Amino acid sequence: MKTRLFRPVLVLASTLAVISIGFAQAPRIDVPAASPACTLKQRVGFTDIEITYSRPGAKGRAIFGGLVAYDQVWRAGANAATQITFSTPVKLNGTEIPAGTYGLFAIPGREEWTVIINKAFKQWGAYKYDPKDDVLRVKVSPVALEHPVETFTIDVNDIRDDSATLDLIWEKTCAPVKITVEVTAKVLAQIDAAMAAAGKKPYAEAAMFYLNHDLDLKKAAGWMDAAITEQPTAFWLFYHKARLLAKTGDKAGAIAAAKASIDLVAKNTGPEKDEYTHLNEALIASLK
Amino acid sequence: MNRHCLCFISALTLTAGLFAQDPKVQLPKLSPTVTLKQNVGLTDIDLVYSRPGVKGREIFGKMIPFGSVWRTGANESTKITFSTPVKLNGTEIPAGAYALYTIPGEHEWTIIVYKDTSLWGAYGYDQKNDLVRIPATAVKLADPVETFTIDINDIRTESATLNLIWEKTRVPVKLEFEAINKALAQIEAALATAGQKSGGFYYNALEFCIMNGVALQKAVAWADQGIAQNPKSGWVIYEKACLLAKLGDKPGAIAAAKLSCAADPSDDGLAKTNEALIASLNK
Repeated sequence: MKTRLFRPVLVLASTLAVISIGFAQAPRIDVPAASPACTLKQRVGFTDIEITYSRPGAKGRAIFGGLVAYDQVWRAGANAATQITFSTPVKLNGTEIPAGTYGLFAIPGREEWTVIINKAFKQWGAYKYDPKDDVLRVKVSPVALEHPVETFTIDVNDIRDDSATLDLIWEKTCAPVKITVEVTAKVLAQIDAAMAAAGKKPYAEAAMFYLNHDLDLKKAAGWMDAAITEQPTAFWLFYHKARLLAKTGDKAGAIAAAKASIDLVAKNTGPEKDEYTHLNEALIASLK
Repeated sequence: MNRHCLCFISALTLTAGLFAQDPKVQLPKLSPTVTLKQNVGLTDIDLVYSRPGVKGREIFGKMIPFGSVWRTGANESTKITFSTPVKLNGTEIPAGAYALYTIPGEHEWTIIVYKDTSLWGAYGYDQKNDLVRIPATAVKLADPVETFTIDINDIRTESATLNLIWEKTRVPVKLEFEAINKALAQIEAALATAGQKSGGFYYNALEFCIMNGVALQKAVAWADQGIAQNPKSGWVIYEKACLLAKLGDKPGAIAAAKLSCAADPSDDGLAKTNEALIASLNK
């Protein structure tokens, strides 16, 4: 083995949680990794996002513009290149990329960052990074943080039904990338098919989805009433009917539905009684 | 009331398939699940939880009242697994899988490590299954965080911070583990065995000592042994140079760095790394 291979080869073994040195000549030993490995699996809508990376620490060093030079490709982690997998196609800052596993790189800048999705996800650091393998480059405006973050962090936050933010966070900088996934078209196709089919209709699901996504609220109100006809004591449906009517501007109807929900849940004794009484009262208060 | 009904009860947890007997429509979960696996030192931490969003509501002190047990997530109870014993804010607990609950407060929170991991949310929570309750102090955030987040940060060889973050609140819990003595014992045991060890073995053992500032004098002797066994291993010689630099022996460190370059002139990375070390010592 050539000595120059020591670092890469040895640290490649550390993509697992702990550096394991398993040479034939010596018993296996585990030593703590300088930049420990992390795996994050987050579902957004119907999409699974998986990120595997090693997390360096600031350790008193100046990071961006210092340890990590501005305007140069950075591995966005430590050790092996950071990997990100999307189980479905996704849009990053509005541009679609197919489902798959990618290498995640970044070019930090004072005023602007570039986040890079690259086909070559199995590599050590960014030493062999090649722009011809880029799938997408997105421009990102970094956000200054009030308090420094010691350990480099990739977080998925601002999670909604069909979007989230991928945040690259270190020192006093957060570089957010907007992720958008397809949810509405998939659900609407299911609702249309179920409503057209014989048998029980998914009135409540359909009404809730239309309500939460500000779709056709008139249609949603019809489904909500149908759901309530099927389950006339469902206090939670009355609460959501109240929300729906409030959204359409029918304050009186909303207040009546909220009061009906309170009356229905009053017969219960579990924690739902307080919870729904509180939710309905807050809704009524917001309408006055 | 079964658990499927219970999840209606929280406005946070409406999910697909819970309305009708024959669900035909799959909806996205309102509080999607996350799995986080984080290595710290010689410990693996696994977290599984569901992440509610603020969604324009007022959370702590309102939707989640102060002074009551909170599921610290959504849907099923939040699970945390430690592969070794760990101290939380100074209180040691054994390795194992636990549910994580909290009692939020305006300033002071209670962290509950709970033995029963099978509950839906906090429904059926019973204090007699507490393993331990730990006090923690909340920190106000300047910028609100939309999605409830459990983050592991401030990662060092033997410690980290578990942060519970939502809305404008962060609750840090200090985690401490044993790693340095365990790793040193392994290195010494390995060195006590007969036979030659590779340059890679020495490199990692020495790097561990340098990174943590432990056993530095012993490590110089290990470096000499490693170099004798692997005379062409420039990276082992480089580690010796780093050790000497750390011990304050500048001339020794510079001499070792020069030997390191000479051991493998074909390695550009090695040359650059040694040059940087020499430059930092000549400052």
